[in-house]
Amino acid sequence: MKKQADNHMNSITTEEVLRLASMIRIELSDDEVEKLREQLGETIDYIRNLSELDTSNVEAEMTKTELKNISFRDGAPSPRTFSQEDALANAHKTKDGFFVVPKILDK
Amino acid sequence: MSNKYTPIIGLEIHIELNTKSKMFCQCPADYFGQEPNTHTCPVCLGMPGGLPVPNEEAIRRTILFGKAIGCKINKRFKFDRKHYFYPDLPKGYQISQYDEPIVGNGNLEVYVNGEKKSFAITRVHLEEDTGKLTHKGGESLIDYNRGGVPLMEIVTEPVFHTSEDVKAFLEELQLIARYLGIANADMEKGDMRLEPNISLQLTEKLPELPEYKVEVKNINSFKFAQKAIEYELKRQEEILERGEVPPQETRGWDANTKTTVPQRLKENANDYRYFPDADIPVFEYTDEQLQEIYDEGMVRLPHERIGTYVDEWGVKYVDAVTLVKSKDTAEYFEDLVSANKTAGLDLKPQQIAAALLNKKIKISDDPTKALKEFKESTAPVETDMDKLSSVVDTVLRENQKAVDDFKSGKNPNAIMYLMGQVMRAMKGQADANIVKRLLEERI
Ligand SMILES: [Zn+2]
Repeated sequence: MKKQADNHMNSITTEEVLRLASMIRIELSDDEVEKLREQLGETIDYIRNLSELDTSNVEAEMTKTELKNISFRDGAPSPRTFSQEDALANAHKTKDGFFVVPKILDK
Repeated sequence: MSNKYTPIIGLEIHIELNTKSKMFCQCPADYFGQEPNTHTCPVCLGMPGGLPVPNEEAIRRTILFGKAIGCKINKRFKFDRKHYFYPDLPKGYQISQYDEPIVGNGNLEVYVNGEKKSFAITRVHLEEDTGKLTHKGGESLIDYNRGGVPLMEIVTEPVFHTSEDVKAFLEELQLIARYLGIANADMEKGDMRLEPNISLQLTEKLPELPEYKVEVKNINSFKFAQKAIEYELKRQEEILERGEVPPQETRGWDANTKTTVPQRLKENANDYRYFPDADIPVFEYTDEQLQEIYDEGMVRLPHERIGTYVDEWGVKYVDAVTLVKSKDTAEYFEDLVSANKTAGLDLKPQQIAAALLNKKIKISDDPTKALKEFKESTAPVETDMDKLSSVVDTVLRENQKAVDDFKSGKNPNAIMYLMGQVMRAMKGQADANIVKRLLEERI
């Protein structure tokens, strides 16, 4: 078994925290960056325990079930489809049946 | 474009499937012209607890399409999450396929101006379409009716060298999708979208690929596809000629200015953080299941029909291409050719093709009846031989120059001119073959 002994503290760097923040579009103060870096680092170190297990003979699995080929028949009834009113019920802002968000740059 | 550079173009093409339901929920997939946000549910609005289940028909259609474009079908495939943060995607990720798509690589043969060319395809995968954003003033309006509609993405190798090849390839994909009845593939309506990757390489450096590429978006017609590519090639050539390298970027086609302009990217391509969607178990089809899908859904494809028409039936290539542009026309033409044989009418397939394309035969008519009527209308007319004889003599006497030109071999077509003169004098009441024979005898 290969053991990962390097129990270092800097599991995640400040740059990585900032990159994550920009991907999920949140702004962080310097204090928050440092706090998150520590907390995320702890989480990563904790999960790192798993790498001590020998998985060389285990195949990757996508789901914990034995299920396969689960699909539905096209045109099946759709009892869960919302009315427009219900669809928009929890929206922060709406207009003429649309959800409204602050202007976004073109993709 | 000088020969100094060779265009290197790869394509990403999206085609929406026209299934009844969406890709991962049972909401109606038909969104065109509908009231906004009337076809949504917890799954396609990305609400907590919504559980996506794939639409079997969308998978079946992708398998069929992959087979039709000459690609390998993967018996095992799965769905993955592609993450990016943008309001057209309520879940924060799009369900797509990453390393195990439904369709693997292959080659599609396409006729480009009569020449058969083969283009390498990398893969085809199935994913969900995104919601539609409309930017108005300081706000963006979102309609999620389109969110979750099944979308095929076809990716090619960088094997295209002219905008003409790209256009022919796109038209072939559209035609195949329509022949299979799996999609409308209407570019103007956004059912089919093209994103080419374009770059130029010094011809002497081939086959090495260039060190940059430019992706162009917002192309919504075949005409614009060609224009955008040509514009982009010219723009890049100018930059290279200045000794610079065009920056790797995404640009958008602007139909008003007929140029491409830089677009700001939402994300770096490597940040999608793909991973398997644990909500959707993997798929494994058997050979028998795949064969059943082909047996049920496969049709004779346009390029196969062109091959038969031209090589076996002697139809002109241009006519064959026009005939297969619509499946209805192609099938009716084949009915005509077989009725011609059965009824022993002895018409040539090329004659039938021309009659159909010139609307002398209408597609609604009964094939045998239509052919009989057409044959009668073209039957040789009764020829008044005495009158014809004297007309031929007169025409030959009055057109000595044409006669000489024909005799001396200076102008072999002069006889056509003489025939025209005779037919005019006969007011069309003469059999062309008899006129020609008589003229040849007496010259
Ligand atoms: Zn839905």
